[in-house]
Amino acid sequence: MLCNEEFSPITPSPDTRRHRITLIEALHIVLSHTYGADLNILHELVCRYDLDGFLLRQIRHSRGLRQTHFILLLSTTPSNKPVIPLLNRYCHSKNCEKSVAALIAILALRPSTAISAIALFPHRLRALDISRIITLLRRGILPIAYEPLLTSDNTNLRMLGLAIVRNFGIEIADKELQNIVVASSDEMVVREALHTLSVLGRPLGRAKIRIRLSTMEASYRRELCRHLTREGYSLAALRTIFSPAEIAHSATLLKSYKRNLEWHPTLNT
Amino acid sequence: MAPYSQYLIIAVSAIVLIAITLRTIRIARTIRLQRYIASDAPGCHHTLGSAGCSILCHGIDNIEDIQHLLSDEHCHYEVIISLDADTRPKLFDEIITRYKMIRVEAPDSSEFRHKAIRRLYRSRQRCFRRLVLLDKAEDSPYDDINAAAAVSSYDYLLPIGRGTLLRQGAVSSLAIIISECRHKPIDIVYSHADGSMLFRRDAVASLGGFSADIHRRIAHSRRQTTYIPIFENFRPLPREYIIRTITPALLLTTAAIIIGGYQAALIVLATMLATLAAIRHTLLLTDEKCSLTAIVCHILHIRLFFYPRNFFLS
Repeated sequence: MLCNEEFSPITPSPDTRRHRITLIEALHIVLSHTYGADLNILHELVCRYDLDGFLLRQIRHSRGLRQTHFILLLSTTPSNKPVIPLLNRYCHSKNCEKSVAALIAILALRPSTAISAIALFPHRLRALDISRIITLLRRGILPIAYEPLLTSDNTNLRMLGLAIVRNFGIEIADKELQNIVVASSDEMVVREALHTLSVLGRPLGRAKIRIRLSTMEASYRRELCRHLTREGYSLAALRTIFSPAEIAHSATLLKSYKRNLEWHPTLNT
Repeated sequence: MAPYSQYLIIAVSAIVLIAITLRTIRIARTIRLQRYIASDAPGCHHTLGSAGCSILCHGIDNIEDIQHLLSDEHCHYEVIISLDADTRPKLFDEIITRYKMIRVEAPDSSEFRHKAIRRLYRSRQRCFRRLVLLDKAEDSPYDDINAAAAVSSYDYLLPIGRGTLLRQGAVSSLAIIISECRHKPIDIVYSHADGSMLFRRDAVASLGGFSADIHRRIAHSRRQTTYIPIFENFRPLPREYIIRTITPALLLTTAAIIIGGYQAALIVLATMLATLAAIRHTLLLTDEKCSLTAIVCHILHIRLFFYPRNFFLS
């Protein structure tokens, strides 16, 4: 069994601390890459070797990243013990990685409470944290629909909803995204919504979106122009959103993608 | 030995030791954290927003370095190589043939001051679409990377010099740092671990392009520091810089020993041994070779912790 780039032989009865950790990490790796895995099938294995009790003891007796790692392992270790109150406590930790690991564990063990757990999460979710939640979605663990997330007032839920739309290419969410761009007061949410619309290749020339864009910083407008150029928007589409001075660089960049100026004997056969 | 001179030597040694120990601990913690999130980084491209960077290369010597630079799993980045086809015709042709590159129109940019770009090449193959090659007369490293910046399409620029390679997952790590800094304007991300610098494109354009003192010209409030090592091999510092820095340190050490006697010598020796041990531990964490060059460069990088350094390329 390969764990952390070291081979460790798994014995039928993991009675040492190292064997138990190796077994738990091996299960975590396998389940992290498995779609639709039901954690309940592991109950017998977990109960037989008391893996959940062992993991909870390790969490209590360790600190820092090691503790964070053990909390994350709890997400793939089903338990009959009351772990949710403990995880809720770690959710409020000042250590960002620890609190996110606790949230991931709660989402994996109690998916029915996912939305409330994310809504009550005290920190702002970073892009990397949202990607970890999306990974749970891709594994079929979290039954979350995007519509209530996009219309929610909670920033974390909204950002998650935008990430879901972007990752799964949900083009029918176009209207909700445009409403967020027009109506939301949170600049970061508006930028995420604009980014999501651009990834989906949706038009951004609507009058209200143009008005909202005109209120944003010049540096962000330049970044957005470059991003839309990379995403494949045409010059005509860019001209409806930006001024001629803003699209000057994009125009020359687009030209550099279009024409083959030289005939090469070996490459052009 | 006079007591005040002994106390002074002990105080200076203690300050040096504490600074190096703290730096070693921070680098070690950052590397452990980086390894912890390394498994999640490749899958987060779509959620990191449009954060990406253009890697501006000057002084590429062999084609294997290009292969290495193109191998990062993050999707939002490009590699722009500035090369003189007149002085390196063989390497130039090898790159064009291997990566199936075609000549395209060079963007005309007045944002960065640089000598004229003779030709610009992009790859026809989708798998190499992040590679850009430009042919311009060889000049100073700053002129070369200014020309590369003029044809870049991402919002952040990572200039690298001769023989510099990126660590595995470096671009993903940079993208994560950029995405976490979205709420505040950051013009430069400086790594204390290896002296690498990531610049915001618009900031460099507003300053007229890259120069030796660009780091000093960026406001302190718009700098972000990190302890994540970005480069795989240690960037060698110029020989004159090393001599200019090491010589006064040696002279001061000698003076302290002469004034303080054998006790001062013992204190200084103990400090140096502890420093070397801390540096060796840090270098081992970053998978660097513990050569004398690496250790000397590491000491100088520690010194630059206290004030902004000049931006230079090897």
